[in-house]
Amino acid sequence: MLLITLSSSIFSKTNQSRNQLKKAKQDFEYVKNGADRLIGFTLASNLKGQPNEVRRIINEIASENDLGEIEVSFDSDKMFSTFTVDDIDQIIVFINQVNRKIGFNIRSLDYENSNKAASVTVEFEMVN
Amino acid sequence: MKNYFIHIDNDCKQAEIYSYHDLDSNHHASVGMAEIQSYIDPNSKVIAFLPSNMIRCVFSKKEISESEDQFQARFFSEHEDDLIKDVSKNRLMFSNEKNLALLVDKTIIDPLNELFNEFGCDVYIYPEHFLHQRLDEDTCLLIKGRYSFSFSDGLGFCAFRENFHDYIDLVKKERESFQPTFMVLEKTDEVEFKQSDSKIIAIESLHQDFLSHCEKNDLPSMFRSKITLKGTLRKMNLDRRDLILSLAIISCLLLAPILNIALMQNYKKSYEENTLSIFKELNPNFRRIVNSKAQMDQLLLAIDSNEAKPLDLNILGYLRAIPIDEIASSNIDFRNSKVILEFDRISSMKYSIIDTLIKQSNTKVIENNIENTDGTFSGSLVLEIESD
Repeated sequence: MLLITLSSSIFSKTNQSRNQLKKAKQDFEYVKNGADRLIGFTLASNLKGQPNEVRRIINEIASENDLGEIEVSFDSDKMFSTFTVDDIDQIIVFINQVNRKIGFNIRSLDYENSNKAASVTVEFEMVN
Repeated sequence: MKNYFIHIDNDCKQAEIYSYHDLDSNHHASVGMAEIQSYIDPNSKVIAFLPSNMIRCVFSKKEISESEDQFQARFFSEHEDDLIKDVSKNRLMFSNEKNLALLVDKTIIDPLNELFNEFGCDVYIYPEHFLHQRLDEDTCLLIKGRYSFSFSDGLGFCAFRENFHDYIDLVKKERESFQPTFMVLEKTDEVEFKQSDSKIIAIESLHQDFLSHCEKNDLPSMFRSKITLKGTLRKMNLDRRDLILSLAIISCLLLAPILNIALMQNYKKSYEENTLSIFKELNPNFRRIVNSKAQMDQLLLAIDSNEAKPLDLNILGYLRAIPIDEIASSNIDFRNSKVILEFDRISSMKYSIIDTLIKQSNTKVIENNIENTDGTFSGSLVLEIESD
């Protein structure tokens, strides 16, 4: 009887803790996402009209992710980054880091496959 | 499985042990009660005999409508005058099939039950006359100086040399046809009946006979099984090391969920602290979290929602589904959820795989410019990603 009561109490406490942890994790992720958006927006606003600084950050991201040589160009409110990749995950990591560090959103992606390597051009829009 | 027969002495201080296993048999005479356990292997069958003078055998019929308690109450009220000791100091066992009740003093049977429960064996305790009971025949067995009488009707008693003749006279008065078959275990001169009237019998053969008949005879055993730690450990054949290991495992099993709860609470606290630190980084004057989602939404109101949409890269997942090496080029328009895939001379098999993958995915082909030239496929596909 004591064992059943004890097991039932532990089971209920485990469930309660699991739900609390799930909620705390969801809240944290929501807040972190929101904070990233806020920071991105602030960064994008600050970086407006500073193409050299944007180029420096993009090159830093490329080198952190072994993307090799990366070309960065601007056209009014758009920024283009061209680089070579071995797999899709490298593209996803790059886009995420650009979004997080300078707050630019992706607009389109061009992918060219040649015999040697795959070339990717990502078009970002610079938030006003 | 080993079978043990234990003949307990009249003073319940010593016993004689016989063991049988396959064709092997062993005999240990005059073993102290406390030492019996060391001669018994766990998970064996143990049949213990108490001298029949310690147990009162009475015929009594239990009515079908009667519960066990009702029967006991009626039995004790009917036999109250015959009992030397207080009713509550006796233990009653009953065989439905034989309508036979056995009554024994608790001071005798309880310590025995306690001792035998520690053996970790299948134990039965019977009155000794059950060993030489014969159908339609009165028998008397001389065993360890005791004259054990078993009557043809199933009752029995045990007398000693000094009161043997008095007892015989008494029985003959009650049972006119009383003509017991006398049995001795070995030739001896010290018997109260004529040598010519007796026959020598091996106790081993009595044991084997008893073993082969006891199960179908439904004899009332006076043993009361009880779960004891010592008995269970012996049954499981656990030595000290196994016991420590088992206790450690059980402790771990009990501690694991508690540790799990503590860990989850710790992670929860860490998430809450990190959430608070994010708010404090955004606004150093931030005091406390009431509803984190609502508080963050409040902060996000400051941004034009069209300008800073959350990044959704799910669309890139479609490139994962398609073998990327087969795509000559592609264009993904994130705003309009459109994907253009170009293929250059891929085999019909590869194209059919890609076609199947596209059909299985959450996309719609809105333009198909693929041409089949000599079994190879080239051209472009325009896909629209359907919203969930």
